[in-house]
Amino acid sequence: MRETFRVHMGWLHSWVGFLAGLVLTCIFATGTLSVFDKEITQWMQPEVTLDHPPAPTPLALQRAAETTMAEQEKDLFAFITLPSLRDPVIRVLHYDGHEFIGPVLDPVDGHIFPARATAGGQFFYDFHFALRNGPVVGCTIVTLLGVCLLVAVGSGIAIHIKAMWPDLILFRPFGPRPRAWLDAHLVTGVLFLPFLIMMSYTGTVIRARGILPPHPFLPAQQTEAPPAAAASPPAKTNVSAPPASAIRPPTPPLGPLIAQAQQILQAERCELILFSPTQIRIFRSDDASLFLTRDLVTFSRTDGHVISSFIQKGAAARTLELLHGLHYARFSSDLLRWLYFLSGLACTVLMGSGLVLFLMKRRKASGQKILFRTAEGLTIGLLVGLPLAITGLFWANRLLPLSMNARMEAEIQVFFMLWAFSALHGLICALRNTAYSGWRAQLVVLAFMALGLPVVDGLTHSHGWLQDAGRYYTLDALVMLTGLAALIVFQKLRRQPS
Amino acid sequence: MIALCVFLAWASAFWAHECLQPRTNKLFPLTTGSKRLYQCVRACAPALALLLCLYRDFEEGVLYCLGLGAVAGLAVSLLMAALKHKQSGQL
Repeated sequence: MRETFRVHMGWLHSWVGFLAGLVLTCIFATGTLSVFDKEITQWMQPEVTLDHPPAPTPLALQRAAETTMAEQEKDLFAFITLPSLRDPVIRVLHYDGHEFIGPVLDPVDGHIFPARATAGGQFFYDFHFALRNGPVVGCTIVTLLGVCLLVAVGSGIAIHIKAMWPDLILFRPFGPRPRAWLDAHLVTGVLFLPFLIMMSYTGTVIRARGILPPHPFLPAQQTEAPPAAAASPPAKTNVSAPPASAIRPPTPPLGPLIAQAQQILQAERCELILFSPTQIRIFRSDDASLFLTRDLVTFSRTDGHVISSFIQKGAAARTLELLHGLHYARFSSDLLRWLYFLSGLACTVLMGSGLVLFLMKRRKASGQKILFRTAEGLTIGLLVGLPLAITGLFWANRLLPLSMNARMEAEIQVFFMLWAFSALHGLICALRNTAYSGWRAQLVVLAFMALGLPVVDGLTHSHGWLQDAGRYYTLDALVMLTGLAALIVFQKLRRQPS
Repeated sequence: MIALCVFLAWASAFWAHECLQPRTNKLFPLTTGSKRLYQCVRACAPALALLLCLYRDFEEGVLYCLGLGAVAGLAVSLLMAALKHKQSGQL
């Protein structure tokens, strides 16, 4: 009985894991990069200097308000993000359907940095949560895949539960190949199981509305308060701004309003400032605690008096804030952010090794079938193609002319073209029964591009050698490590027969 | 500093756990006294790690504890694999 159950669970784990895993691996990989989305944006905009204290001057705030008005006159729903320790500049952002983009201002004198147009780290965030298919279709697909991930995790636990305790950290990389891959899959799966469950559960629950629209059982839901609409800018700011004529130009000085909002919200810092024709809404910063809050104070735009404040207090709302907070990890210190990053990386390895295992187990019996070869081609395009495309995006960021029209779109096109080439090459090689040479060729290209990125970064003179060295060199080093890992795998594969 | 202590506590717990497994015991034999000591470490070190994390940050302590634990487990796993490979090569 127990063995039959394990066999059924094994079947479920294999097929759900492989089919959903092809996309989930991308979601996890880009989610892992999104942990450092601000830092990636800063790497991709080297013109922005980050050596200022994270406290904006009144002059800078005034310039930010003027810039926001100018953006709103272009029918963009622009808002201000205030400087923080992680991102010590003022940004005037709008949602372009995929990313939050816009001018970057100096927090001291408020001048606009001549920063290159780029999607930055926001590109990975958008890919992670919507697969670049918009907040409705994309989010729904990702949420459904989150459910598949929970099924795969549950069935995986059911298969492995007996050996989980004794084989807690068992890893035999020097053993036979299938054994080594299985150990890599199990050791990452078991050690990072709490993280995997937490991320898949919170990620699915916070977007569950997409697949399970709520029925208005409660009167409170039927009369939803207006601030809730502003509580989630990522999903709801894709609306055109009111006509410019409807906007009242003179805004009261923002400095005193921010200080007043901090006092009312009892917050150390405020982060977002949203403008409507009659109101100014100032939101508490969401990096202060584990709970991702959208508490806000609303001011009159005419004379700056307080209209209302909105502070979430109910248990249900606080629970949702906690789920958001755990998933977004905006509260975290540097150490915790690195732990999130490493855990995300380990979960990506877990999924990648699962895909490879699926193919290994079926190679003998189904190696000649066209479906198997297609699956292998797609796996090549995913496991090597995605890092290749990401590295290509960084290359494009450094090499495309700064004054190029639609530069941001060009960067993104480079990413998708490289990924498409990789997938196509992988498919052709797999269909011609030369999958090993496909793996090897793509690994060499990945190693070349990853190891070459620091050289490109240096040669393009986009930033000074010692300017914000930690930020630039950390990303360069991480990409170089990817290149070295690709070289090691290439060496291992070279010893295999074709 | 506390994070390092938590990492070491978890690493020692994982090390003790692996040393107590029969497959590792064959390569690195343990005396009865060391077995008891390792069992003690395996039981107490994670609790110590959790206490230290909660002391450092009560709200986020569990996240630190689990994150550092997973990374420590992976590090010990790799170290153990290398040591076993070396040991089996010598035998």
